[in-house]
Amino acid sequence: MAVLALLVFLGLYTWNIRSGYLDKAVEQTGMEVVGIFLSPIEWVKNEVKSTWHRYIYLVNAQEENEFLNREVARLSFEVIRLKEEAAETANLQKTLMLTSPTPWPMSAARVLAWRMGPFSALETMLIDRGSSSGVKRDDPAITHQGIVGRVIRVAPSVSTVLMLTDLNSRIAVRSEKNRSIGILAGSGPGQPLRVLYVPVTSTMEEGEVLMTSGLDGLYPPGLPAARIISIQRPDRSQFQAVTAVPFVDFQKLEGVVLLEAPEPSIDRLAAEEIVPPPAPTPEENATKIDDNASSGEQTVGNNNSRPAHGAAATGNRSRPAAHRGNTTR
Amino acid sequence: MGKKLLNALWWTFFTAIALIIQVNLDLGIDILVPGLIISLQEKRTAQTIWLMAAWIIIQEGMSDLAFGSTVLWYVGTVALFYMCNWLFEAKSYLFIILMCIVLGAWHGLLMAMMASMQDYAIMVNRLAWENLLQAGIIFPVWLLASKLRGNLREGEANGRSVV
Repeated sequence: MAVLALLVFLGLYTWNIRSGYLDKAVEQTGMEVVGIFLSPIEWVKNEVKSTWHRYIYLVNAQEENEFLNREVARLSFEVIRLKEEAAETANLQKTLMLTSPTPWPMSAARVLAWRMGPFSALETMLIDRGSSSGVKRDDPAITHQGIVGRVIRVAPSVSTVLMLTDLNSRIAVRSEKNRSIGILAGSGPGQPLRVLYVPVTSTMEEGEVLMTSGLDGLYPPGLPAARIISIQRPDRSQFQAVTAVPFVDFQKLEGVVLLEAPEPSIDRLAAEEIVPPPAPTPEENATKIDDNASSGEQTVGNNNSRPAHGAAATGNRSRPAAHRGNTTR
Repeated sequence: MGKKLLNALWWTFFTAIALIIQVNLDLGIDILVPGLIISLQEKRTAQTIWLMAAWIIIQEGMSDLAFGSTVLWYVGTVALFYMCNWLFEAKSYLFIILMCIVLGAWHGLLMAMMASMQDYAIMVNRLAWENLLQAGIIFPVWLLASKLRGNLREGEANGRSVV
């Protein structure tokens, strides 16, 4: 009897690992119930905390105000400088005929809980946004300081985010100054992050900022992830032993910003020969024939005048590995 | 108030309080399992099955591993209960202490096994610490909940409402 039950369990487990049906079912039910249960509790906690900050904790308000005013002044100059640089970059891109990356839409989410269940094997947190708000698996979670992690499970009104400090987290990064690439791997809570596969021939410096390279297809390039704290060049290894600390203070994290991978526009896909452009209406056809007749050309229906980019042959989309890089759950 | 409704309310209240504690502890431990032991001690099979089904769904929803860990965890608890019951009186402190120790070890074994089946790396030090906590938290929660539950059952037997 026990052997039969074990066989049934193993059969179900294997089927679920392949199909994910039971995981989806518990995401839609159990995880959702927990989210619904925790949301009002977390709301009350936040209200109490914000009341405390608003009315009682006003001792340092004036000092903080002065500091913030100085910060505003400093950042105003920074904005002016960056605007000029952005305009210059746009001009250069136009000159080089480069297409600028599509911006990733953002949405804010509140942290409801951290590791919760008895089988929380990963460093995760529960946030109050789910599939009904457009959240998808693998969406990056960030703060103004840097990367937090990515969404690994999605229920209708809540989601679970895998933090970059988890042992199983891997993020493709590039050093800001020397442009050397590596893989940022977690080592557990409170432990420094490791940068893997940095060849001994590459240059990295202590204190250098690691940004996402975008090569993993999950995170947009240019997001700050960590700062290098130590570099060792072992004698017998092909790779350097690099450690870094994340920018985000996970102890104080109350909310995150979720980035949504942009869907490639129809025009862009058509340019990359992934989908055919929409067929013109008969009226448009007639107009086109008239125009072409007057100019000595005759093209009906599909116009092939759209320039084919370098990515056309590969069918390269803006997020190539978004749905294949996910090995967690 | 009907006895069944009162019973259902008691278990709902227990589940809610246990979940609040579990979530706020931020540790990978189960606060609901002492409730399962209480239900098994009461020898109410239907109640135990309902509670197990509901708690499996909730705990699996909070788990990071693929579906199945909590099933094995609760089924293992039931099997262990009946095995220990051959040796000791089910309501004795020695019985519960033995259950705590074995469940702590079972939790660690299960976590390590299920994580390795999914190729997840886990922190061994933290897992060992959490197993100790899991073993240590069962007894006080069981004691408190069974005292409260005892009052309820007594009230039911006397035909008066306690809640």
